[in-house]
Amino acid sequence: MIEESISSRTESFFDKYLAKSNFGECSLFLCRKDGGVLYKYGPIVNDIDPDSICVLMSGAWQAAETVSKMASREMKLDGLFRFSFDTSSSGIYILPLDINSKKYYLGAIFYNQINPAILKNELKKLLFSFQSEILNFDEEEVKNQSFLFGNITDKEMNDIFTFNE
Amino acid sequence: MSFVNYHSKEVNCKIVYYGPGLGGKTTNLQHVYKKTSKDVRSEMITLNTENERTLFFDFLPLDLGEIRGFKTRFHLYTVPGQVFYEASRKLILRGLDGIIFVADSQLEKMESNIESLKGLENNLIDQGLDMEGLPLVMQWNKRDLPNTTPIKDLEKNLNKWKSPSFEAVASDGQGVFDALKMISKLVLMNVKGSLQ
Repeated sequence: MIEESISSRTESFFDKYLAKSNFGECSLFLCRKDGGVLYKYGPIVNDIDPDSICVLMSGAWQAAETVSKMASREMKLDGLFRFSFDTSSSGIYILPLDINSKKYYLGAIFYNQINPAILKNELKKLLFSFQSEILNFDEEEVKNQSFLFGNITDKEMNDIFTFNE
Repeated sequence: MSFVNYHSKEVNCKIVYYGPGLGGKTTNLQHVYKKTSKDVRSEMITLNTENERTLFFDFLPLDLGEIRGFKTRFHLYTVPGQVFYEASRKLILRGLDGIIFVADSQLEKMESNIESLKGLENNLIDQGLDMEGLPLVMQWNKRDLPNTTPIKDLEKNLNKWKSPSFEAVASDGQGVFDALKMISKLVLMNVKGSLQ
């Protein structure tokens, strides 16, 4: 339920923040560790399935993280890691976010940036503001959990699978 | 772990096709892709080796219909089956909601099936999960081949949890949607939340 609380706050936070920011030609994605999309913004979301982008972004992060852990004797793993796949003007940039011990990723796909370092710095500020906002959520919003649907009939399942009949 | 978005009234679930190499996991996904319209699914993502073996994963997002006012979205993944891709399999299993274990019915593949299933159990234990409490469907694939293991032997050796099981020939689509429909039902019935 914490994630439901995050998801309902995410949209209003990002909409407000992005309205007063200028990220140029940039699309943003906030997703869970398994790639589930919590927020999407920018021109790319109409051309490419955001689910696919987020799954690949979180997969790329986790693959890099696993490799770095394997090499941890040589590499210090403290500090804020970030993931970059970019040229001097365009690319992909991913930052991690921890909320209640759960990992999320903020990913940006950017083009035609005169100085991508400025954008990356702005993204870090965005992440910091979002983290502060989300960590202030009221735990009372977390309601008792039970099964959402309980029993599901075969008819209900057949209804959602009609496309392949 | 499934995710209920009350704002957009969506339920998101992650289903993983697991099993030995060349058992038919990717073929299952390709059949689902082929038989569904663009309204329902996006493009299938495949990260392959040069020999068309799965390197990291295949991924297919499916938007199914509504159940009690909630849109249902399923993310279907396959793991790479080859033994040396264990690290990739561990990553892909994170946050899963249900598993379709695709067993290769050929007699000589029994050992690979058992090895893969043991690997799955160990990988789940690493994540604090166990097969007992997880939605699981067994698919006995390649039933069209001449040298198949009898179903009762597959059940005895691979299905100690008495999970629902289906015979399949994924290459021609037989049993593909039966397994998918069953795991979807088990996963949805397992989703936690509250109807507000």
